[in-house]
Amino acid sequence: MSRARTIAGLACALACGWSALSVKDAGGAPPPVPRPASSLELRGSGAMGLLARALAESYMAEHPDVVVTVETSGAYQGLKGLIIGTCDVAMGTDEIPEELVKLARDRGVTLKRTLVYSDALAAVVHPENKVQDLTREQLRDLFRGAVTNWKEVGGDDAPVEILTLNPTSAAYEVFKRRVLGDDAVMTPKATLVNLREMKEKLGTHAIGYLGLGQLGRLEARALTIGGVAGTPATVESSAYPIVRHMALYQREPVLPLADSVIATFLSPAKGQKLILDAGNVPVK
Amino acid sequence: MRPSLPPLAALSLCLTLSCTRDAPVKETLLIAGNAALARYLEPVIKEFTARNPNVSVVCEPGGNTAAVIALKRGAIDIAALSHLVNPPDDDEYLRDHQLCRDAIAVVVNPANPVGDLTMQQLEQLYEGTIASWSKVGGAEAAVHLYAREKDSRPSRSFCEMVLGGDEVSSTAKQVAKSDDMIAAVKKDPLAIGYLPLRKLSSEVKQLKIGGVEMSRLTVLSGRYPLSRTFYLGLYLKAPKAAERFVEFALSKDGQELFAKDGLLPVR
Repeated sequence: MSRARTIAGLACALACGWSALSVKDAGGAPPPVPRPASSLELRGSGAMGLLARALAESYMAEHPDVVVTVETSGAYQGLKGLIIGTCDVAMGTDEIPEELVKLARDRGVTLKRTLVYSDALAAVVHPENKVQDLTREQLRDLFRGAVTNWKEVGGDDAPVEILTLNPTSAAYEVFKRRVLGDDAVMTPKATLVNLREMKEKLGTHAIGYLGLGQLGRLEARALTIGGVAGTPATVESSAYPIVRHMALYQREPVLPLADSVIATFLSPAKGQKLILDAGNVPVK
Repeated sequence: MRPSLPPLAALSLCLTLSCTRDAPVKETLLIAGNAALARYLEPVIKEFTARNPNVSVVCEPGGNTAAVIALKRGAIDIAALSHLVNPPDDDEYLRDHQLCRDAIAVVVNPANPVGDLTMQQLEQLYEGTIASWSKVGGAEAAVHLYAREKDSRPSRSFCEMVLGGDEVSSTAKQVAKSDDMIAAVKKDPLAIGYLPLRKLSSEVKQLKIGGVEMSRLTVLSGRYPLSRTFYLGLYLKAPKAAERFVEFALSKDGQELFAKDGLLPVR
């Protein structure tokens, strides 16, 4: 598995002295409830939902004794569940929030990561918005709240309405790092929405963001960033600036069933085909 | 405040204590949370207490949010949840175990040309704001709603998933059992009704919801919209009996008890 990388070091590197300082003792986390080898639970990012659900169904169809469940509540819940032992595979991005890195370290859990695909995170506006392109700096200023009127970035004289996804989502985490900057904060005026509401609430002067593959039938237009449109080609060449790398995580030691199901995500005939069909870029 | 022991349990406790001083003290587990799940847990609690006579279990229906707060305060031992807890309520000390999946099939008479409904259309039909089949792609004729009796488990599941916990329209005819539902829908060309997965019958026509047909696979994958996942939540270091209860509910025997009530085991 060349695509899988063990990130044990991630936890250990900073670990010295931490266990002694642990503020709140979990009472020695009890061992996870034993799970039969024929069942597997995936939790995490909604961005991977369509893919994971299709692959879970085809896996169960081919293996009638196996149960593969999928729950997409957010990247945070997936990784948290994986670390504390309530799920087996987490769906998220290649970037783990710092608090969860710490949690894994505290619990002595080593995670194994498998990169699955990359996709463009699109900044979206209403189709009637006349702005077609923003630089990354303009985008940053809009979401930080430094620019509050569309006329400052070449649009109508109208206040900007900011839509943002839940901070537990993979999209938020990536957008924050790639656009806002690590130490920056989203404007408090931003409206918190889920993917469905992103569609309903994207008014004429609103701007939001989501995975390009999730644009679907959304009545929204993706902006070009610095003149570059998010496409499979510009994601692959890194010409498009806001790219996220979706990944699956499991605990060491790995479960045979987890490995087997994760392999279908990487299979050219199964997962990779679905990834390409969705306009995303499978990891090579 | 934990409720006092039921009289019989108290009596047996006294007897036990009078027989031997080393006998284990009776332990009470308090579970609270989602109303439908509280009902589905009844047979599991019955079997668990039969196998663990020194534990008594009290289960109170309430809501997800209150249950999580009570769990974190240590007022209850197990939270019965109908969805995963979201941050900031979710934290690293909350152990949320997937318990089983709950799903409902929507059925019509085989002669009905309608094949697919959105969740919103289903909601409008059952709250009574859509009264004609023509509004959802069918004939110009009144919709005849059928529902299970108010306190039945499928009825609670349906109302929570489709109507946000509200009651179905008062025009709905109530039927006592799934077999009665099948018979009624089979007989009435304008009927719409619902069934748990295990009771699906070829005598009635299953509607797709949002383009997805209900099956074991589409429920486990989470693709079928009229479905949800139940969880049991433990917090920090839970009492041993609470751990044992969760283990039992997730065991083969526990999962079979949910399956008997039409839920889908996840293990």
